[in-house]
Amino acid sequence: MLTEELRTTARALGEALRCHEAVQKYLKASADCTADAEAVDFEDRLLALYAELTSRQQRGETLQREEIDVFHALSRQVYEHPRIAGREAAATLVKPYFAEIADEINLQLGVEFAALAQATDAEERA
Amino acid sequence: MSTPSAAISPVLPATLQQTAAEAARALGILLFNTPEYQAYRQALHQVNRDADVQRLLASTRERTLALQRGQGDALEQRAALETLRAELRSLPSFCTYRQAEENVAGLFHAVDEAVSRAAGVAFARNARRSGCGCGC
Repeated sequence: MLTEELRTTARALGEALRCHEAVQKYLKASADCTADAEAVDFEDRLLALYAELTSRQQRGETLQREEIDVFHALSRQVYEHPRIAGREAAATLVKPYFAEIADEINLQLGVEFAALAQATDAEERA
Repeated sequence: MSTPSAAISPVLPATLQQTAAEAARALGILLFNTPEYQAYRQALHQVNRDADVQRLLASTRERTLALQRGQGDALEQRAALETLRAELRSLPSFCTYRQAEENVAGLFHAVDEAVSRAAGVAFARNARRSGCGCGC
């Protein structure tokens, strides 16, 4: 689908982004997180619980207060885990840098590249 | 965005920082000149000039807002929204716009995948400033 020129330029941009200090820190923090069995277990448990609770809610079930409390307690444990907190902190530095670089694309196009790359509904956008 | 961009000023040489900005500008120019993007611009221009499309979009926004604010009967509001959307889909200029947007979104998505693969981090998902693609 992509022309060779587009593919090459996209790759060049990605490689330049990867060299940035914020991205390097994020990649390191992310790898540290993945290598930590406890952090992985916490996140897996949180995701599984989230999926279960939302699915039951969507089926019209009313959740018990205790179940919601358990979810919030697990969320806190997850986000207070040093590896996960480190990764999230690193991610907050990547976002403004990526937004700044994406603005260079947006300036040429006159629309937000990132939003269109993740587009879902034309009726909301027109 | 909670962190000001000033907090992440790069420690790498300025030339490297320029490389990312320059690559982004080059990518923007390439994307601008693709047939998909030109067709999208043309289709967007047409729907913006189409009074029927604009009227239906305004009503859709009004109904969506009312639904979000819990105004009126939710079932009725949803039914009205469905009718408005069906009317929109029956208009040729809107159909052309939707198709053009789908094409350009597919192209941008593929480009984003290529950028993200090389960066090692999802680019578009982390670069978004708003929930809207029109730059408003």
